[in-house]
Amino acid sequence: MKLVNTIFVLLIVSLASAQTLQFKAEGPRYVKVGERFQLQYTLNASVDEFEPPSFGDFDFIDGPMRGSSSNISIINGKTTRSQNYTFTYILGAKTAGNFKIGPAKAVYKKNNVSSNSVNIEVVGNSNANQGQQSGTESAKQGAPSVQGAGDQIFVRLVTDKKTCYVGESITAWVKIYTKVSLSDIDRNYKGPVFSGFYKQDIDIPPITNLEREKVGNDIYYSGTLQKVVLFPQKSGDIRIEPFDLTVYVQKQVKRRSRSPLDDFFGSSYTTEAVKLKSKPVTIKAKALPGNKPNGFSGAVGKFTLSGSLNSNKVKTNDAVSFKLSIKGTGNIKLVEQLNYNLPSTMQVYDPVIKSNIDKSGKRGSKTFEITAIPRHPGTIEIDPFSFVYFDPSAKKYKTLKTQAFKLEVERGESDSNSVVISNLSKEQVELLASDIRYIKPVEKLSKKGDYLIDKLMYKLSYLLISMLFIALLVFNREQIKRNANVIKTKNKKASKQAMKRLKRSKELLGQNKLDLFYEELSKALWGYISDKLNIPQSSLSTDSAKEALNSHEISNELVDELFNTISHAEFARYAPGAADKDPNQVYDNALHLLMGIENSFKQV
Amino acid sequence: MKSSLENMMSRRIKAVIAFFSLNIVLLGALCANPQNRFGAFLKEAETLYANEKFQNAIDRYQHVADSGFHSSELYYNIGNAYFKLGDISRSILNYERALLLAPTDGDILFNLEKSRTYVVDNIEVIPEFFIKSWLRKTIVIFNSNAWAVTALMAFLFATLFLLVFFIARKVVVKKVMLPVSIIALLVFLFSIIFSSRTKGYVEDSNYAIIMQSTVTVKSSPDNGGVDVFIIHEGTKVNVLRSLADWHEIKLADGKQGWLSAEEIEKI
Repeated sequence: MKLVNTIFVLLIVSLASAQTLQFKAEGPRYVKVGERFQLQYTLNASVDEFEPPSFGDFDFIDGPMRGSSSNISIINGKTTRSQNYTFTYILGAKTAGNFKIGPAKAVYKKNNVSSNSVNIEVVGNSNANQGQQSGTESAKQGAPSVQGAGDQIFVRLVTDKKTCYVGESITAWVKIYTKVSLSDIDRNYKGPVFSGFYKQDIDIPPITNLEREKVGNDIYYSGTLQKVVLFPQKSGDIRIEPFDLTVYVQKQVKRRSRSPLDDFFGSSYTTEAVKLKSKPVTIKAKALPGNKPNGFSGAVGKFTLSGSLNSNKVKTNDAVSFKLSIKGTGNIKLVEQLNYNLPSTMQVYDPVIKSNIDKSGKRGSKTFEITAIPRHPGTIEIDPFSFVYFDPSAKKYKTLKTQAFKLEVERGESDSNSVVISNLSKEQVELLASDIRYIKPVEKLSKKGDYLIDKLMYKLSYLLISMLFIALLVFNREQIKRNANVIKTKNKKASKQAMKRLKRSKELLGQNKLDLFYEELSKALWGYISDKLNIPQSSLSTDSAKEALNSHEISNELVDELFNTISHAEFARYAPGAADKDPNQVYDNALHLLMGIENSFKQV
Repeated sequence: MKSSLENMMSRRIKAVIAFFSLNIVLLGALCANPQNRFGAFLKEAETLYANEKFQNAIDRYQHVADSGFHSSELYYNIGNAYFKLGDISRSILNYERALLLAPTDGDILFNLEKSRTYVVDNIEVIPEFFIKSWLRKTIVIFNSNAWAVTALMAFLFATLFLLVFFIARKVVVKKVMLPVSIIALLVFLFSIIFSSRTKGYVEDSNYAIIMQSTVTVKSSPDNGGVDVFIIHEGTKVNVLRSLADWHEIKLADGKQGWLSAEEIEKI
């Protein structure tokens, strides 16, 4: 019994003390042809018969170098002891290719143990030249002097995708690649311009150590300066313009004189500023497909929706609150729209939106808290809330719906407002039911930018009208003048004409053509009156003539005499036998009268 | 003399009638109707819209607009189609274009208001000086060409009345014609002014609609500028001036800033 116990205890103790052996092999992931590198094996306990693997395609340069360290820490009375044993080899890379260095072997507590194998990719031309010193993997180690930037150092904007949908997230890194050691990076670095994108900056630790990275056939040390998440806001090819970055490179200064003191102090370094410019990057943003369902929120990504109502039974004028939660990956920060249809009998307030986005900038949740107050008692059936988004990997629009909700509303105390509110809700109902008004037939089209007031024809019309106006006016004036002239002339010639006619009548009298004589006499007198007074013969009558003569201040005597003569002449003309006066007398009378009236006119 | 005066009057009347008819012919020529050329397109578009093929309807209507012809109904229809497609910024853009041509149309205003409810930004509009807005409302009763025609008619009547005023013999006629012709001249003057103003309302309008879903407006025309505020698609902005690819814009509530030219489209 005691023996069994002892063995048991010993076993346990030995098991306890036999910690799990950690046997790790570490080497660089990428090496350049001709480069020397370190391969290190680490054990947490001392072993026997350590046997390295065959290094095959690598040159064995040096090793093994042994190292050991131990660490004792006492915390809260608990003692922990750890030990580290290392075997380090220096190898050289001969040819390019992907190689595997097999596990190293050892014997630990009479068991065969082995490490992991190491995959190393050797990059570059197989007949490459200088071997670069590479101690550890920190770039702060010494490096040969700068030859020229360009392929020694460059800066690049790396994106995880080059094609995506509008609103889909793209992660981008600004990375610097260098073969030479850098002492500093310009502090005023602003970064590239991401116009056409909504940008979310991602916090990253500042660059301290650079890592080896393979670029094409070459190996660089790289580090990330900036990390962003971008969401394209429009479709098409969006170009991210090149950006500048200034870095400071350590350069070895060669001194001309080589005094032994120089050797003693070692070579000195100066820092040289090198300006780097990235290449432009084009992102092809695909427009979302045209069959957008109603209520599409603009969200692109993968999401889930959940909804809850804080209470199913309330009284009128008590507030209830709907909580909708959208979770997922995508442009969640830009999501603003949730579709819901609360009855118009409830007073609904704008949602309170809370966002929670994690460090990646594209994953998180958004909660919409919608407060509503039912104004009328009854059972209210509330349609499910829906959220429409676009899934870029499925290339489809997806609609998520919550459950429907049922709300029992009891009559509350104060219902005096209900009358007023119901009016409002009626209006709301009408508005909700209406759509946009229908299209109209396009009957008339006008030319763009075509204005009458600019047209030459239009301005000419005014000119034409004005000219016509002036022409007519002038014409009118001329007419008046001419008429005046005519009248004046007629007036002047009035007595001459009358005399002429009288002469003719005398001749006729001599010929004993009495009726013709009287006719001519009549004409002479009437004609004289008409011309002198400027009254057309057609509107001439005894009364109008008398009036006109009077207005010219011809004496009444003369006027009466004149008309007596005229009436006698007319009478005699039509009833020749009945004429009682001697024609010669009549003739003389007439002559005298005319001269008298003419003189009267002249005196006026 | 009687007959010559008659002649003169009848000649004058004849001249005036001749000129009147010449004018009408001219105006008719100026307003030739290009609708016939696009009749087929427009009919197609109407049918497509009725069958809910909205994008195809837009293509037809837009073809007409791109050929240099437009009307408020055309833009209104395009706006409707974009609304049905859910493209709020483009529907607002086209409703605004329609509104420029027909500022008092109730349908356009109604649909524009409806579209605006989908715009995320809620901007408090600073009300315009009331006399200015009252004046503007009265002037836009007619469009520029309508005022131009009115002006020409008024001018014609003015010259007619003036002519009669000078020619007429009777004092009564003269007394009436003078104030009447002055009134006609005033009508002509105002009509010309209004025609020019209404043209200005359309041609000089410097507004634009935000096309990108989210736009960050900066304090200066470069990407290093301080972000002043964020606005969303569908919001109407006033473009104050431009510098290279940047526009300085102002919102209805007075906020100002710079944004990139590709983020907006002018009305």
